[in-house]
Amino acid sequence: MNIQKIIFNLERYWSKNGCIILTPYGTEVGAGTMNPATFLRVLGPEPWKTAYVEPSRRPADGRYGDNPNRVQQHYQFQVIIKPSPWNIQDIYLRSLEKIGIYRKEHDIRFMEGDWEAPTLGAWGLGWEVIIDGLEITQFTYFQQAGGIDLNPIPVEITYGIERLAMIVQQKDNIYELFWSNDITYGEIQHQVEVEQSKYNFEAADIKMLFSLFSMFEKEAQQLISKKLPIPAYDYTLKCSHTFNLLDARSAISVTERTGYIARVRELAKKCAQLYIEERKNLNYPLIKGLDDE
Amino acid sequence: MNKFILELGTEEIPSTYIDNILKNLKNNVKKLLEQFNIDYHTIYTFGTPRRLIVFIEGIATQQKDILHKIKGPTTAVAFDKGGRPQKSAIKFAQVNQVEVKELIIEKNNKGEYLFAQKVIKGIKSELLLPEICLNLITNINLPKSMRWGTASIKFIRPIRWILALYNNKIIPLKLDSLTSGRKTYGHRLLAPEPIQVKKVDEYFNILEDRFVIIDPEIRKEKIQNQIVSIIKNNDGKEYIEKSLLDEVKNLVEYPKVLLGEFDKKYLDLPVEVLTAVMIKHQKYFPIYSKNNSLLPFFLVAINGNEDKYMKSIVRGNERVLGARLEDAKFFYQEDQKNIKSGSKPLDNNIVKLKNVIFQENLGTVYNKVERLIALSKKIGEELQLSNNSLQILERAAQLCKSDLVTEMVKEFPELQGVMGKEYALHQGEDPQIAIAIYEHYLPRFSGDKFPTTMTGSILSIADKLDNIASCFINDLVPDGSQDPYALRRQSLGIINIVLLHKMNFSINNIIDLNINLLLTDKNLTEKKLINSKINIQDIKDFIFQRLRYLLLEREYKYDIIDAVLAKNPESILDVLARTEAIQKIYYTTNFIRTITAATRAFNLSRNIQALWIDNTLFQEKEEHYLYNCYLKIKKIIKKLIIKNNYNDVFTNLEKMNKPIDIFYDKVMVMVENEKIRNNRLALLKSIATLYFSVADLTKIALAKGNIK
Repeated sequence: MNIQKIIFNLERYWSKNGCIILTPYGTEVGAGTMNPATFLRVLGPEPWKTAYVEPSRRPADGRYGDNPNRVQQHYQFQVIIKPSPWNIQDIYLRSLEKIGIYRKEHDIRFMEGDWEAPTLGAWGLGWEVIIDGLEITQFTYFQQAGGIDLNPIPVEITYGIERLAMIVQQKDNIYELFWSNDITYGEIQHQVEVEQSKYNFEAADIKMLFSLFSMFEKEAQQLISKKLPIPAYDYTLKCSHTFNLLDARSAISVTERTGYIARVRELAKKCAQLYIEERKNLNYPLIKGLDDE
Repeated sequence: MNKFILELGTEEIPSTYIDNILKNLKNNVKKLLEQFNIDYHTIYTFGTPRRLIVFIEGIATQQKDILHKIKGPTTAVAFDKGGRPQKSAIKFAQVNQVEVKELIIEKNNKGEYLFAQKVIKGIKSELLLPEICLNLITNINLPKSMRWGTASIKFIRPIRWILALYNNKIIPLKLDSLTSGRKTYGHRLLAPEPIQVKKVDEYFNILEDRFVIIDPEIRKEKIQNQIVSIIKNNDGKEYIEKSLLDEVKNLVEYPKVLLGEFDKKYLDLPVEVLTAVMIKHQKYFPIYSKNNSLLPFFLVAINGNEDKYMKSIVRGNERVLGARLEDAKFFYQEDQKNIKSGSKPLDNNIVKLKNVIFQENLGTVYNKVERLIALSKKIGEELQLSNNSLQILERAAQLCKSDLVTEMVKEFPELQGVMGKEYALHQGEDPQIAIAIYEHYLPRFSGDKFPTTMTGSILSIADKLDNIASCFINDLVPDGSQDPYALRRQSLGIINIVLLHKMNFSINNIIDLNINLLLTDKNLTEKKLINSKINIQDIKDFIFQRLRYLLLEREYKYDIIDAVLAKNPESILDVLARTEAIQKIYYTTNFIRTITAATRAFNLSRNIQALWIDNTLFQEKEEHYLYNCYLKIKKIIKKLIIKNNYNDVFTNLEKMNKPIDIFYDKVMVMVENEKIRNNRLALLKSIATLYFSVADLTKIALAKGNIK
């Protein structure tokens, strides 16, 4: 099964299970969790069910297209369901069947894997899902986001699309995966990896990035003061990505690092608090007497 | 026989917690049944990643009856002289619904009273079990807990079903939105459908048929047997990683061990790298040949499965391990790039340590390395090492943290020290330096190996001491049971190393230097993060507190240890030597005489300030005699103490017992003449001081008359 078929099948499956299918967010993120469809929507009492693909950028993981497993941008398939349903593990295992991974044919384990995102003030408990020794999914019950206790509790399921494809297509090299039947992952992404790695490690203008960070931060702050959590969060994401670029470029010393992370977290927390207030002012439009359990 | 079973169906509980949870459950069940007065035959607890089970065999049908006595009026009031019941007795019987003749009389220290006896019938167990179960579930000791969905309860992972059966009856429980029933589930992958259990007796077979082995010990045994048989078939050494076995047994409900292979070329990697990848990251058991070298195989305990899929499961695991080992090999080569043409990766890495934080607020590992060079040199000098040894020590200190920035250690942090040693050898360092780099982290946990070399030992002490001093300066002193930086364990590490290698040096001098190095570090002073009140004694007391426990564990007497510690010796080894010397003579008559003489001299002269003895003021020949003895013995003892020869110190001190006894007999100390009196007191005080040169003998229990 090629990658696009995997994506189609997951989208179809989760939409049948009541999720709205969204698109990747319009700005760079480190993980599908940072998309406001997760980070902001998990806050507050409103139910929420969504699934979407998210290209996730980790500048420091770049390997110039030379490493068969590591890339500076990979694709996540993200599912968020709030509140978490009682049979979610079973629903998840059935999703794997849609891409040809049958539970009776594999060794599937839920291995302890706690999750924490310090820039988002978020954490949760759950597992890494391991199939025949390979981690393919992070499965997390969020407990906090933006430093706020969540209630009800959402479950986040993050599939590594490349990992799924490596199992399904039995490949050892990410670049050899078939995206469609006639085009490989490498044909689409290899040049991206080479150029972006060069950018992340060599070409990025450090001075510009530092000034961008401050500009983005200021913008986020002034938007927060105007009670506009959604655009403020956009600029928080830009701060976060800029920080990741600076980090990849080794431009931030260890002592400064904690400080930068704290600055991004501070913005994320304020966005979260403000977003909850705004939803309350709107009288929680998504509460329509849904009962999923 | 009545049987009760409670099964809490959960999502996967982390494997390392299960054993403790089951132990805790068992204790709690026992306590609750006792508290509720319900007899039972045996309590069992079982568990898998997906279920926690309490099984009570022979639970009594009901609580034990309780004989309840109600106190009534005194017999004097209740009966007249003829023994006829009076109003108060009749009323008391009426109120308690018994006949007057059923009342009994009992005496207590206040008099004779009437009592009504009532038997309170025990309540049926099945009516009490709901309360017991809820109490049990909500009071399990959990290391971490979470919420899920809309549930208001917390547990280690979500609870999805509750089976609670008393023989064939459901014990009704309501836990948040869950209600108990007779439904359970088989193996998640092999028999996922729900199944109804009619009665407790069926439960075990139902689960076994559905690929669930509920007893962790049986799963462990199965894994072990399968491993051993595979090892034998491959002519390997019968060795099983114990802690991994304990972990893996709780990762699966129906273990099946499979053999996989990896490419022989990876055997060129250090053994520690291979085992770290296999054991820590993949939970695979490595196989060793009979001569202890690794074989290119691994064992994985999977969660059961049909035979026809085993091959592809093994292949999947082989692919993952292969990719991981390929990564490791890449890191290994990358770390040693150009090493053959004379490049020294560990030296190149030193400057990179400026980018590794040692501890929040406490600068970088680069700063720490600078301190370690100075500290280990100082210890080396105190131990009078040769110049050559000092040079080796300095080089080892310089390189000991360099592997932290290698690709391999970044990927596998548990290989710190191991990789340092490996790379040091490869870049041509003296093997002593390489070994010291590895050994300076030892012991890493309680029960771990100790450094075997002097260089490794010194570096290990310096590293641990610097960790302790840094935390003290950073106000991270352990408090109560909290010790997040494991400073107590590290103190114990220092002590054990010192005692093992008999390293006699002043810890005060090293702590002093360490504090100075930290205080002069600009990183700290500029940020005003310093706890400047910190002093040598605080840190030393912290370490010596561990020393005290260690000596107690080795069965030295507490009073001896305290007597020695009261002298505030500067060397750990010295504390042991003094303690040993006293312990040896503790019950001897001579020692008891020594203590008696010493404490008497001390008590008499307690309030005198001066130590100046003027021998022209002596009146009696006994005074001269004692004084001369004192001078002679003092000289000898001074020499003996320098040599830490405390056995002989006591033999010599004993020689003073007789002259001092004679002195007490013949000489009146508290005479009118102040000069003479003070001179005699000064003599006694000097003698007491000499007596106390090894330990504060007033602290010895014998001195307080506690002679056994």
